[in-house]
Amino acid sequence: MRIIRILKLKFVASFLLIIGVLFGGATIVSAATATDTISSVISQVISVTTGTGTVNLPITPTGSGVQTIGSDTVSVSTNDAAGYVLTIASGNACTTLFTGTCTTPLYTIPASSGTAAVPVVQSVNTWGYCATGTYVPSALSTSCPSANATNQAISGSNKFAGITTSGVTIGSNSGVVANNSTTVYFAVAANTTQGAGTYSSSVVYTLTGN
Amino acid sequence: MRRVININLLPAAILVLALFFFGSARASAASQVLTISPAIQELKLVPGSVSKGTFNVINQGTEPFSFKVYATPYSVTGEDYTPDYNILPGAPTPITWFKFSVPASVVAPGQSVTESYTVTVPKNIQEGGYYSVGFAETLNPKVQQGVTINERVGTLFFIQVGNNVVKKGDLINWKSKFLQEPPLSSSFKLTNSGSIYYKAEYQYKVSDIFGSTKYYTVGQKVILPQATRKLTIPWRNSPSFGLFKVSGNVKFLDSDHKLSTKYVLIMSKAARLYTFIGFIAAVIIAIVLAVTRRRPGRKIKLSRRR
Repeated sequence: MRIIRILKLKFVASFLLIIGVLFGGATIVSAATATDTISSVISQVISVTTGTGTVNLPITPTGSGVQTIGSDTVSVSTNDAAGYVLTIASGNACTTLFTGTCTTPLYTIPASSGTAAVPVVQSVNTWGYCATGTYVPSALSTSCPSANATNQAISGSNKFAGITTSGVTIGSNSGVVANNSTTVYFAVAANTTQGAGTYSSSVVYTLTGN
Repeated sequence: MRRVININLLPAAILVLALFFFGSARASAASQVLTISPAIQELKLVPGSVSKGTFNVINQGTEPFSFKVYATPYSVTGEDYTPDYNILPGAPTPITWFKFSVPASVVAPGQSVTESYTVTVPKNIQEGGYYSVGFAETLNPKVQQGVTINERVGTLFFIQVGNNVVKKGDLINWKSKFLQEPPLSSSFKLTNSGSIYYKAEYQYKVSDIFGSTKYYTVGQKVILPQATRKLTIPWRNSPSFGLFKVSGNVKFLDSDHKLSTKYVLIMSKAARLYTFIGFIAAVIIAIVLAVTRRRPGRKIKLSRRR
């Protein structure tokens, strides 16, 4: 009888010990656990990707006039919740294509009379731009070409705006974007009345948060 | 035999594919990637104080490029918030407050230049908000023929000078037309009648009539003082036909404004045409049915006369 009691006591003691170890262990484990706060600050970035930095527009004029179209692709990425705004403007005080210098040109090709809101079919001896892309204002993209061309007849369906010294929005968006690309087409149209020469100018894309 | 030929051609095919992919990667990597971080900096200063900070100009492309750093004014025009970086006559501009540690430099591929700046606020300046952009602009060599392309990326500086500022703004309207062509879009206008900028955070949701969310977006915008900003939120991938509910909320100046639920019926031009054709067809069918129902009666009358 005593033996049974002793065995019972041992069983109860063992049971309690196991329970104690189990919960005690758990307690010890939890007591030993430290809470670490993991924080990470992801910096805002905004970036622009462009091509080679040059768009060549070679043209061999005819009496009635021909048109050469070249393009450049601008891609924008930002993790800023405000999004971005991308503008285009002349990179110097002139809005013309010129030979010589901007301030003392020999010959000039004036900018198209069209605007970003109302682009127009190109007249001879003018140059202009338009853009296509998801976030390009529709007025500027609707009649924009989809491919480059050299010395083609002046298209009656493609419309261009003239470059300005103040920035014109060619893309904007709210929120995060990754590699959102805008293709900017530049066109020059000339006939044989335009003086021969090496014409150049510069444009600048400006990208900031929106 | 066929298998042997295919196995023999496999390495050549892999090589061609590898060349193709590496070749295209190289071609695309030839582009110039100018990154600036952070995109926005907010400074709270007092008249006569000097503040120092940094931003990074990063080259994520494969070619080195030269760049210059400078500050311009920052203002906006119109409700669509077209940015203007030019000096406006009579408008206060903080661009002379900025001095940059590296006004021009070259950054190698995969490298960044930490640009340190010092902002010195004049002692006798009026308290309020001042706005500027710190630009990094590439200096690509000028071409003889064609168009030289340069790009500049800016860090916007929103500077509060002093504490004597008025923060005040309102939600002017919230619009979403019932009948729309895709893409579905809604808009709201915020105005700032205070003397300092404020930030607005918005949430916008499009759901079907059963409440299932179809489109959800969040955003954050800055509203400059004495300006009204119209924010248009398009659902670019909206379907060509459907009835939806739009709603949301805008939080600014410690208050939450609910954008009440509005119903929008999207119908593309094609959907409108089909609906119109369907309507005309239904009308014709109804007329035909009405006429054919009357005819038996007339026949009976005629037979009775006989």
